[in-house]
Amino acid sequence: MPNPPIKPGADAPRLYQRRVFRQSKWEKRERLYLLVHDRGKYLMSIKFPSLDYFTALKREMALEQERFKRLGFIDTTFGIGVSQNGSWRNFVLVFEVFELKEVQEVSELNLGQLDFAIVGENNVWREMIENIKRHGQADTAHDLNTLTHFGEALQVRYAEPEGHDKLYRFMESIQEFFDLSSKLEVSF
Amino acid sequence: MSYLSTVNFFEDRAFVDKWLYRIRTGELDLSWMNASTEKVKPRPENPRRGLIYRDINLGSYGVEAIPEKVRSNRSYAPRGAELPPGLPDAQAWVSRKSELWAHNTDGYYEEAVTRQWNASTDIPWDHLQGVELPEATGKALAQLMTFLTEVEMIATDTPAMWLPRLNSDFVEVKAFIAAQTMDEARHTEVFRKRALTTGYGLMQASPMNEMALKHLRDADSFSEMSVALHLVGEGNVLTLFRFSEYLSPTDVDKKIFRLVMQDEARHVGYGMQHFKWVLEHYPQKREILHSHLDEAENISFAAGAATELTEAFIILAGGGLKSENIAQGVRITTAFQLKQMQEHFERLEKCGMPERKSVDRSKLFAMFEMGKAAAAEAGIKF
Repeated sequence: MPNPPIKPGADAPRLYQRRVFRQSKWEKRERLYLLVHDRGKYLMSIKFPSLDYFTALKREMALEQERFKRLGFIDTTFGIGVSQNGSWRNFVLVFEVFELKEVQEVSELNLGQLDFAIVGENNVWREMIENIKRHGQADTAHDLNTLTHFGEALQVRYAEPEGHDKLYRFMESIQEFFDLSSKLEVSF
Repeated sequence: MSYLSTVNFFEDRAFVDKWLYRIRTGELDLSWMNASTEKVKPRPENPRRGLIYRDINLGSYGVEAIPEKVRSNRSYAPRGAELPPGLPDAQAWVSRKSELWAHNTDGYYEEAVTRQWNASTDIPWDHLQGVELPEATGKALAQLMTFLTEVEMIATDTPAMWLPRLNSDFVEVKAFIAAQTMDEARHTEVFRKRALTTGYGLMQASPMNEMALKHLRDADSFSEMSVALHLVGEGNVLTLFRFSEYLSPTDVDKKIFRLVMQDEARHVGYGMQHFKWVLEHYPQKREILHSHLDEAENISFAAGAATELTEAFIILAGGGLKSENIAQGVRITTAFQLKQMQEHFERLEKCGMPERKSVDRSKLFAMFEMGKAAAAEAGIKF
């Protein structure tokens, strides 16, 4: 697999500062979500990889606040990279307190500004999401730790070991966040 | 009795008379109302988090108010309180900030409090109904759980025994260490429960590992304990938990390892931050810590390679006792052991001790280099 567009240094452009998250963009995303979601039923499928997919998960997480409050504070910013036919779609997810606060699509993942990034081929992500849909949660062969463990399916990239360790500090919350895919109709 | 009051109050006429006088007259002293302490009005910066330690980090109550050497308070008086004459000396062993402090200690504590879980009710134990593991895998899992129960018992004792030794001005560190103690007690519980639910019960204790664990308990200073427990011990155990999650045969085991790894990663986070802090603020400790690491690495190397642990891993990783299972198990277990060492040296480098990544400075690093070469020859990637 070719290398994803990742900048390892801390000097790379600051792509993820708050100023880039303009309110108007968020309002637009929320409106789009309401178009596809009606009283717990999805009226149309959501494409993966896309900002819509992560926005839908954000919404589902907000709807399940009690469950995520029970899991505890989650304070981490990480990247997701999806490769397909040699091109990459990259997303930055900012979790704060009990929720996904912001999500943004970016042209490249700057490891200097992320705790870690999980990257891999679209077909691996697809298999994981379809597995979650089938079982309601990832089975023993498709949870994030298993898929990333030896870097054969998905890879974890990081600049700092402390950032890397955050994947494990918040592992259950992150896994249950992705398990919310079971509530979505996802197309690829 | 190890402590006797300096006064026998039952026979102290003045004390008893004062008590009776107040009952008779209702006359109050009220001098405590004039305590010369700072008045502040903390409020939650983020209401979603509630009122956290960081919100009360104000003035004389704040962490910046703690001097490097705490000389004024040797009692249990809370930091920022007025210290009247007569407070007893609680005989704290650690009254120097650089010997226990870490950036974000309060944050690790708050995270620990919100991320507590319950080994009885948060694990889907009912999913084990009807699960029959093959004998070799089941026994290997029971052996792993036996080993982990041993590990977690000493990981409970070690932070707990340091609690009363820490000066009460370091309330955030004491809170974090208390939370860690609770985490480790829960890990002991969950691994013991899982060992028994395999149907094979507890298996064999590990002399090699207990020797290593005893080293954690018997450190001469808090910093030495922390580097051995939080950085070396729990760093290795964090890699082990991730590996064990990867090998877990059931969703119950997956859930257990995901939850314990969260706690362990938090402890490693504190350990890294403390190690950085002590190296920056107490540079004289560097050689002492090097020396402690020499022994910690020696015994962690031996413990990691102990027969009763390694063989259980090989069987779990390979999925059985056939030669092809064993071959696969050896490959995966070797990759895990090398990963453990790699992450250990990554952490030390990040904390400000890059010089251990040298075969002259660390014998474990020399073993790591040898292991990598052997793995490359055998075609094992990690």
